[in-house]
Amino acid sequence: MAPITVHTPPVLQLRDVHKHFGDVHVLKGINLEIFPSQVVCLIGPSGSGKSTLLRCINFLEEYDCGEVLIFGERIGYSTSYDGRRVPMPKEHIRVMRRDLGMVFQHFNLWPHMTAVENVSEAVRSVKKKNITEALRISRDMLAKVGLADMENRYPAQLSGGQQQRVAIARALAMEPRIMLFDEPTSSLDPELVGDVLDVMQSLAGEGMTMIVVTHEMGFAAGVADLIVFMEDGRILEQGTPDRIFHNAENRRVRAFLQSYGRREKNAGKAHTATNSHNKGVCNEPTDHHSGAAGSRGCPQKRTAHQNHQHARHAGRRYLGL
Amino acid sequence: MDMPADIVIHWADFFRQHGADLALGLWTTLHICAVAVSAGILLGFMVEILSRNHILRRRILRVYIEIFRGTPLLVQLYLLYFGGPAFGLSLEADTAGTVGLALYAGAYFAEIFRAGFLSIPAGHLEAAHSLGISPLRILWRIELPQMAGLIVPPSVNQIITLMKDSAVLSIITVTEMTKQSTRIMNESFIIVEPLCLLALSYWLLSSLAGWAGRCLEIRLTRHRSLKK
Repeated sequence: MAPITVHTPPVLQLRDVHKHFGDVHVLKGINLEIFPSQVVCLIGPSGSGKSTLLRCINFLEEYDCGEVLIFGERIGYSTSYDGRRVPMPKEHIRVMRRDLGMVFQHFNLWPHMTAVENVSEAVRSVKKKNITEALRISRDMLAKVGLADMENRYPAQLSGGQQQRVAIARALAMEPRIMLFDEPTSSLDPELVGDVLDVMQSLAGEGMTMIVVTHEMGFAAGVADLIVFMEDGRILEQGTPDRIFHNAENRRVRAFLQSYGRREKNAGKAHTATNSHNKGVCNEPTDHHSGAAGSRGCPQKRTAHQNHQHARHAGRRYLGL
Repeated sequence: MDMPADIVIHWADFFRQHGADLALGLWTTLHICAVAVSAGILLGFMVEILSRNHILRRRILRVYIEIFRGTPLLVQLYLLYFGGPAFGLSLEADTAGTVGLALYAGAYFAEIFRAGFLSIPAGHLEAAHSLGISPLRILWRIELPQMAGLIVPPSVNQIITLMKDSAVLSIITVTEMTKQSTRIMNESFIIVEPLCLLALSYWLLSSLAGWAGRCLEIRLTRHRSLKK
């Protein structure tokens, strides 16, 4: 019996995207297709162009050539009658951005507004909801990220992890169809990372299309449907977490992930407190945790747990988190 | 005039004779400063808004800032009031004084606003852009409130300087405080009393502005000093 194939159009397509910062060629021809409800993790060494790529997707960064298509529509530029690239009106870009929620490394909450004001601002001004409705939506979103009782706090009164969750709520309140995460946990204290990752994980579980630039290999291994490894402005390899983490074809990818595994393992030994916290968040039984840290024996363990939830935990276990 | 009672009588006498003139001078100073400062803030704001993200406009408006910041207020007032008619511009002394002071203030306030806009982290604006908020709304709801706390101290500084600089208007015959005082001195040969009163008035006005500024600053930066 032939397998049934369903052709779903990609929600996001990048075709031969190039980007220069002055003389530096940051993106050297990126091709990528992302499908609905996919969770894509962009990994790779610093300076490889991951964040730039993400910022090109919602046109916070202009790209020099190529195309970025969101739901089949090109963002940033249109083609004139003679084939030249003409910049799109800013107004049009603003409309297209409403489908894209973005979460930043440094949260970027507006410091003079309370949590609920941060979330409701765009709901009021962009979605044109009245204030009662906007506040209701915002409170729901804050509750969703576990901050129902923090709505009247200013960003300065919140921890990094709480701030980042407010930022996620702010993006979600706009009902985006794709969420972009730019190193959402990189500037958090280790013990606060878990809360943010949990929110992201539950979001992935709801079927949100997510593109995540991250150094959290445990999260990438556990939650992603597709891992994209970038280096020096190019995509070196992409594939399922299983393939990238255990059977990567590219030597460079293998070397990078190995060095990560070692570092995480060492860090794991040093910070047992962090580990126990993450375990608690995952509700992971301790027997899964022990012995699996950073070892190559992980694939067998993963096949033993077919269900999705366990596959996610396995990702963390793989790196001893 | 060595008994306390004599001093009281002396001052009462002085006020009876010149009080109305002094009050008129104080009123003129206040009202010229209020108009010139408001116009200057508005002008500075407009200059900075227009020159944002537009290189040509920035260059042109830069010339305005450099000229008005780089020449003495007195020279500007002379040009406007005495030189104006040569260019077909004859203004009343009060009008010329107010316009001159406002143009002078605008150049400084433009720089204060520029500093204010520069202080806003790019990420806060990116967050707003990524949510699709319109530029006008970003300006009104995110940029201005966020920089308000920062630009209040230099603005108050500038307002105090302008208030004291408004004494220069006396030279182009505007009947503000300084003009009234010097007129009393010339007419009655009483020197110390009007000058002391004049200094005291400027000091009181400056202190008032400073105090109001501090109150405003505390209110605008509340979110920064909150406890966890």
